[in-house]
Amino acid sequence: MSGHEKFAWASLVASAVVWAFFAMRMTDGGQIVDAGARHMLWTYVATVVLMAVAHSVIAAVLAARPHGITLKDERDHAIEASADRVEGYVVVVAINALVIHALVDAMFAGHTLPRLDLSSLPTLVLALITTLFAGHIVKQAVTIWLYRA
Amino acid sequence: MTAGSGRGHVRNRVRRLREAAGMTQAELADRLGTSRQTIIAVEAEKYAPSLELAFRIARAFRLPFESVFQFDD
Repeated sequence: MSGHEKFAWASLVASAVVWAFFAMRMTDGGQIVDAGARHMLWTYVATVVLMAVAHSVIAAVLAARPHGITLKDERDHAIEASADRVEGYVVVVAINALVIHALVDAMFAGHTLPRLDLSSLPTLVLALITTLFAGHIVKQAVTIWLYRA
Repeated sequence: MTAGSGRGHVRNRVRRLREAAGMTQAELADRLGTSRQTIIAVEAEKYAPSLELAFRIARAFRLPFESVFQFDD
C-alpha cells in the first residue's frame, strides 16, 4: 500500500471522527439543537482546527516512515484528479438537493413529510458542513478504490 | 485508471521485459522516477501510462515503443 493510499485511509477515518464531533455539538438526541451563533462559530472553528491538526499529524507520521509519503507520480495525480471530480459531483448534487428541498418545502407548506428546516441557522450550518464532509469522505473512498482497482 | 478507455485496450510486455532484464519492480520504478505501485499497475494493465512514461519505459529496455506497448481496438 502506497503512502498516498495510507493517507487516504487515515483521512477518511479522521474526517468521519471530526464530523461526528461536529454533529454531536450541533445535535442532542438526534435532534438539531437551537444553538446560538457563538456556540456554532466555536464549533465550526474547532472543527476546522481539528481537521487541520489531524491531517498534519497524519502527514507527519507517514513522512517519518521509510517510503512513507513520496512525491506524487502521474498515476497518483490521475487518481487525485478523478477523486476531486467525484467530490465536486457530490457537493454539487447535495447543494442542489438542499435548494430543491427548501423550495419544494416552501411551496407545499404544511405537509407532513420529514423536513429539514433550512430557514433555521443551526440546520443550515449542519447541512452545509455535512455536505463538505460528505464530499471529502467520498473523495477519500474513491481514492482508495482507485488505488485498489 | 484502467488501461482501457472503453473502445480499446493498451497492452504491454513490461513484466516479461523487466524479468528478462533481471530487474525488480522497485529498480524499474527508481530508474523511471515513478512509484513501484505504478509499475505494478502498468504491468497488470490496470493503468495505461502517459505517453511520456511509456516512452521512458521503452527506453529503459532499449526497445522501440511499439515493441513494448500495443493498442487493441
